[in-house]
Amino acid sequence: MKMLPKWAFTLCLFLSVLFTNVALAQTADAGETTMVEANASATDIEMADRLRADGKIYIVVACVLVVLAGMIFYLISLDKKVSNLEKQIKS
Amino acid sequence: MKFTWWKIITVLLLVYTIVAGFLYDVPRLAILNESIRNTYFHVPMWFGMIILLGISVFYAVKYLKTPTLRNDILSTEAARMGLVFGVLGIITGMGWARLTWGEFWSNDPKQNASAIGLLMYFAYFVLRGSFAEEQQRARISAVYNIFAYAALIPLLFILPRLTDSLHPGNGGNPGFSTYDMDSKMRMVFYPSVIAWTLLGIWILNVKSRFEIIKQKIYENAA
Repeated sequence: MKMLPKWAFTLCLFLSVLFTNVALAQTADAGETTMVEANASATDIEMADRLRADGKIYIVVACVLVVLAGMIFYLISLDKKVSNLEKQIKS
Repeated sequence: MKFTWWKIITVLLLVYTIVAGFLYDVPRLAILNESIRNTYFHVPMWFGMIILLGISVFYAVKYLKTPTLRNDILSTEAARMGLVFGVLGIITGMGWARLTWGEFWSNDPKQNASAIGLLMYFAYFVLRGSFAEEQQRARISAVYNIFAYAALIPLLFILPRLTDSLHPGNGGNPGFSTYDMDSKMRMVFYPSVIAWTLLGIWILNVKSRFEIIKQKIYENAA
């Protein structure tokens, strides 16, 4: 693919943004602790803690992963079909 | 198919998004509860839409400079894929709004503006469909594409901030950066944006290659 360097550049750009943000978030930790404490007093807020403790959320994750795998395999097969057509057109 | 490295990255990041998105720790916030995890699935749709529509404008400008079939096809298909992301974004947003804001559609400035934005892009395809002559269609829709993107930016990012909005980051509400999102969420959120956007670009890649082949076959047959 001719476009590879462009993709490489965009990805590096994305990753650099990611890391700078993580770095910023870490430096801003002092400000965040007050926030965490404010929330820690609110542990009574309803979350799906038991669902994960029971381990049942994993089946949901597994289902979604199966759906994703199906979609990706279909996309790969489409990609292959288009590639074959491209080869046929060239020859 | 060349199994290029960025396609592998797409799959890995998508798997990471889903596993980490469901299982990693998130801040405990009232009203939002576990629905805060929607950040990894709803928000990337809009990020992806903006990036894909940006690609669309890029190729529209490129088409106006050098009118090739490839530029026109890439521009159109990127707009189509962006619109798919936008529709998914608005549907997931409505579902999320039902549980947190109380109603599917509360006429929130952000909701209305994004609906208008999507309608502008539907109009783009209506416009495309109304030309029989190929070059005219490509040129005029490329010009409209630039206009639509230029109008979309204030609609999504400026106007909702000028009034009160329920949507985070707008009106009187603080943005995600202030407290809704902590550094743990960022570790999942940014990869999820990259993952969904790359998936959109992959589909765009396949679809536009297909369209280019279709045009070549038509030309040979004619």
